[in-house]
Amino acid sequence: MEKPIDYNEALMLIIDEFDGAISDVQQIQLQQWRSVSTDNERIYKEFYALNVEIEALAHLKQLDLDASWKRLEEDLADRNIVTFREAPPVQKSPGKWKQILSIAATILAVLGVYYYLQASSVEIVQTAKGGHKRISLPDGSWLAMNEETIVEFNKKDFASNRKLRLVKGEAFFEIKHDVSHPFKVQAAEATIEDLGTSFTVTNSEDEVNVVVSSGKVAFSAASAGNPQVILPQQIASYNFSNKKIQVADAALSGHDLSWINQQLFFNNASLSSVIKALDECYDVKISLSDKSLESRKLTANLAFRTVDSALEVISASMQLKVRKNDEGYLLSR
Amino acid sequence: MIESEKELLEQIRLGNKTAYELFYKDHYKALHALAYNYVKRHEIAEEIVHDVFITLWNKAEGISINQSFKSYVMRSVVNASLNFLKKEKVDAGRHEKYTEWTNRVPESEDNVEDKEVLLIKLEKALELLPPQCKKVMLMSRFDKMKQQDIADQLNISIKTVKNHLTFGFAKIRTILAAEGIQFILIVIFYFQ
Repeated sequence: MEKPIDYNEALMLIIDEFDGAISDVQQIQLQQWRSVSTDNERIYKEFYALNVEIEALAHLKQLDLDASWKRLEEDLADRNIVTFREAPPVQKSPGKWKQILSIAATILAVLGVYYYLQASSVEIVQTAKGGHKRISLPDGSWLAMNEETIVEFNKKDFASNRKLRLVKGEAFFEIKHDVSHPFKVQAAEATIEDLGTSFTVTNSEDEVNVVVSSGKVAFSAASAGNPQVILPQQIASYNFSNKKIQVADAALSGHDLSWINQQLFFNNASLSSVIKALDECYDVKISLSDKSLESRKLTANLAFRTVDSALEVISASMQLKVRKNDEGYLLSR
Repeated sequence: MIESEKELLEQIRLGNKTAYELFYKDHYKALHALAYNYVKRHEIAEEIVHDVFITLWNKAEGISINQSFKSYVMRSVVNASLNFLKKEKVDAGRHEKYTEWTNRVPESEDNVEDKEVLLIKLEKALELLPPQCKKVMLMSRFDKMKQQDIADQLNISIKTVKNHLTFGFAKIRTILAAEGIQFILIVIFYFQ
């Protein structure tokens, strides 16, 4: 018999075994330790499972989702009509035409135009890591998107069917209230219905959160019973695993909403970089009348809801004129 | 099935690759991890998930799903993984032993969905480790460095590296247990 080992030595040997850094003698010691009690064996198995999980996590952290999707996409058969249905700016579908024979192409083109008219109004907006965007909706409501967020809505009949899907990430909404056309945000299994209001929805991988800034919202999920009304300064969370909605005090939850206003704080920034940030954030085109303005410096907090009010502050503090033109805005001396 | 999933399935039936891509990218990591738990090789795990997605795409017309669509896909991945192991066992003549970690039934819907939660909690648990311990854990587990190389690089003894790793594992196990996380249901051991 080898000398018995204690708990800490055992744990160390378990890890050495995973790492292939265990000697034959130690291997026997570990084997003996495992057979001493069912508890020991259970600990060994838990460490084993944990190691597998960590390894999987390590792999997934470095995984290239786009490349993985590309590999899969090659093996997916085309089902034609789709080519026309995709929202144009987001993705491309190269080379699919080639495979469509002439007669089929004619028929499909007719179908395609039909579907295009039906579906091209689906707007998908996304932000990259570190990016923020503000978008105005056709009904006059607007939203601010946090980084790594995707939203999807139908532009065409938006006014009569105010529905928006928060595919992932976080967005702040300020909604024009309209009793006859309720505004609904869909996030995974949860639905948030506005009852006159501004609020933030987060769709993360394990839950959907709603923080109400003003007014109130109705929060529901198919499996969580009746809708719950959420009031200002409350945070409601729908958890994907226990399928329950919980309401708590937003201030105590530590849920950080500072991003909504923070992204437009400029400290001694050049006017060209300020304009670039505004362009990206509000999705407008702002130009300068002459190049010498580009290097002028600005310190300001431009956390405004519309680009007009932001430009007003810039023009006032830098003695510039703002003119609206066909392309967007022009700043001049 | 919930409304958005019905829509998704409808889009797949119509052949909307963009919708399929979003669905794939949303769930690939969890599905990969799920398959990996069984097959223990990343290339095979991807292959299994891809096979499930290809079948789903080709058969979307004829599929009727009563449960959640996501659970359906996860179940398919588990089944495909088990089939792979069965086949491999026949091929290579290896023996495996299935070990259940918990008393819960492996086929229950919640279990497969827990996978995603587990990975996120695991990542958070890693963040909670003391800085030096976390550093050693990441070098060892993420960068796959040898214990001796870590010791050299951080200018500490190999014994200290071992201590950090042991502490890290034990700590994560405690953190996850406190969060009510149970480990993966089935682990397969290979014996030569």
